[in-house]
Amino acid sequence: MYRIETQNLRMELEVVPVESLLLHERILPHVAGRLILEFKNWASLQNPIIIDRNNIVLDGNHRAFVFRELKIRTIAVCRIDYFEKEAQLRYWYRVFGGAENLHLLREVVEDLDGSFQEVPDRQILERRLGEDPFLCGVQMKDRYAVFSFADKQACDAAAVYDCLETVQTRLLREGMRLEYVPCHYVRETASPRPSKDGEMVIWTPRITKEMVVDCARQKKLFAPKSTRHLIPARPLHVNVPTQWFREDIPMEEINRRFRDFLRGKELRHIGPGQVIDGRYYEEKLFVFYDRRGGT
Amino acid sequence: MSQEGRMITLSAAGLDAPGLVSFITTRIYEMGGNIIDVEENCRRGLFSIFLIVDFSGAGRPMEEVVELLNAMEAETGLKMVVGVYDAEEIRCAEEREGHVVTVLGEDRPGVIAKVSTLLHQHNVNIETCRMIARGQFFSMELSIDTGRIRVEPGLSRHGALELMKIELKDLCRDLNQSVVIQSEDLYRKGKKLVVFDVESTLIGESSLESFMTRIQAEKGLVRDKEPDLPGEKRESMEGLVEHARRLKGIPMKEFERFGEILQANAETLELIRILKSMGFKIALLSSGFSFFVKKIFEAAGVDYAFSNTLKVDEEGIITGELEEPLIVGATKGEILRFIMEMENLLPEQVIAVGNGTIGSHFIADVGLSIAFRPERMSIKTDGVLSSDQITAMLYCLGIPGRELEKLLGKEGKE
Repeated sequence: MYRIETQNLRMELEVVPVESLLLHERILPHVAGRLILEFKNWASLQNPIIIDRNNIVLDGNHRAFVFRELKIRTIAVCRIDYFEKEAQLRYWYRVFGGAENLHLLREVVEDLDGSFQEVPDRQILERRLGEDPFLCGVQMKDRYAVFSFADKQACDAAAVYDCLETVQTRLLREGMRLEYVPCHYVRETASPRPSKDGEMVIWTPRITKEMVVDCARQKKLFAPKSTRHLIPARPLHVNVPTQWFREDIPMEEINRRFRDFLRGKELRHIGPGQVIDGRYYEEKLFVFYDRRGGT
Repeated sequence: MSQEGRMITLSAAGLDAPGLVSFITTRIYEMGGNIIDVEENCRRGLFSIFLIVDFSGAGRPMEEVVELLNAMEAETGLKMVVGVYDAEEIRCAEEREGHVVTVLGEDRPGVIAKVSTLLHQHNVNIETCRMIARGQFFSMELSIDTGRIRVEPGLSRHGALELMKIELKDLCRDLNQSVVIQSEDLYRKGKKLVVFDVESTLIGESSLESFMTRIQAEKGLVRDKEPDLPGEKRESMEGLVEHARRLKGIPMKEFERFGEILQANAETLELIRILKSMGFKIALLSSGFSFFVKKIFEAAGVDYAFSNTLKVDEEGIITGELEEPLIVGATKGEILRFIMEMENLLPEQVIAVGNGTIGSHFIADVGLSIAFRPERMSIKTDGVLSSDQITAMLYCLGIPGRELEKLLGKEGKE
């Protein structure tokens, strides 16, 4: 095991059997398809997936799924304490382009035996969502509404997200375009993402860490793009050859090799809010890299 | 055969026509000459060629050679000038020490004359001179040979070169022109990464200090008027921590709204777009707070961006502390080295743009360092861009004029 420890942070990097991982979210077929092509062609595993103490995958569901599909035996992980305050759980809102009004959404929700109600303003929308964990919100320019699904269909958070997926499919069939946006881009920042003409934003229900753990343990999966985990720190660029994970060798041996491999690299601690390889990271980063001319 | 008097220079100029180079070089070959250097140019329908030819292997008298070469005048319609030299009189290419000088700014009479006079005073030879842009905006690229630069007593050869560069920069500043001087070896090396010091180049605000002053003045948000930090502290870790401390207690949401005050230089996004389209990787380094940089990242997309993040408590209130490690002037060099390691790049493959003060000292040790609108120069850079147009740096990358016009969307506009 390779450990990264700071004053208030502990991350354990190791290799674990793929079969031991518990997924908590369904995958998007096109993303999985692209990753299958990559890993089939021996791409390196750039970044370890993030798991909790119970082997629940918090970040890297697609990679874990693809490794399982390709019958790759093991995978590099970074284990964190999920219930640490700094590990935050957020979710993805759905943004539909090409919406003319709220009628179609109301129709689809009501077809699913759900209820739909317009509310006067954003404050009331936020209050209503705070009162009912399974309620969804919708915003279109200055119009706001809440909707929910019948109890028999939406008995838990994962089921509500399943219902939402059905709604999504109907809206897409009607010619709308779908984009996923982090919830705090709409709700929490100082300059919220501006609402464009013909754009309808669905505020998805809040998910808690307990819900994620329960679902994963029961082998229930949330719909794709439900959870969005912000972890306290992220190790990047371990760049392990995939071949290692295919080899039929004892776990102790592969872990020893992995640890030595990481020890041979340089490690740089980078604060949150930086861009590496074109991606913005809100978390602290620990970036592995090879010093030029080094071993 | 002895090489005495058997080296020929041939210059020919006149109206352009297809086949001229083929005609002249074939004739030289048939006469037994060996072309050891050539430069040919066509401009606005006019043609010129300059050749150095070794006739030591030719089995005919030199008078006959000169006569045959001059006879081409009637056959081609070009004006021919032939010179005869001994081999020893012609300098070997190995003695050459090439540099590329790019001068750019508002077009005005006398720029070429004054620049060339200064180079002459230093005994620097101008080998080629080409206009990259002409119109309201003027850009000229000179290829110079400093192999025989005048070395004053008490100066080293390197010192003489540095003196010439300083004088050239001073002259260009007086002429309201920007100038970049690059070693030809480095100029020819493919550059891969462009790194910008954000506060001094990409954001209209000249420094973090003036941003803070504006917040204080315009919004009255920082509660007590505190004295400005002394200059030497502005770019230091101490100064940065002090800035953060002054923000304690302010809701982050309120503070982020001040991002609206910051205006990216008008051409910034355009420049990044062009550089990316040319295959460059882009890095932004800032000793300011992260939303300075995030604004550019969100609008233009870059490969690397490093800045400082303010810590907030659970209620989103700024605690007055910063996330570590801090990024200040002194640590930017380290970050740049880290990016180079990540990208497996050598310093000569990097272009760095800052304002030339000690705060952007990290730009000095790369392939091409450019000081953009320097208020005061504390470090040595290859060039100085004094115009407001940061896209002018594109003229220093050896891009052919027409290609550059296409990239800048100027084609057909003038």
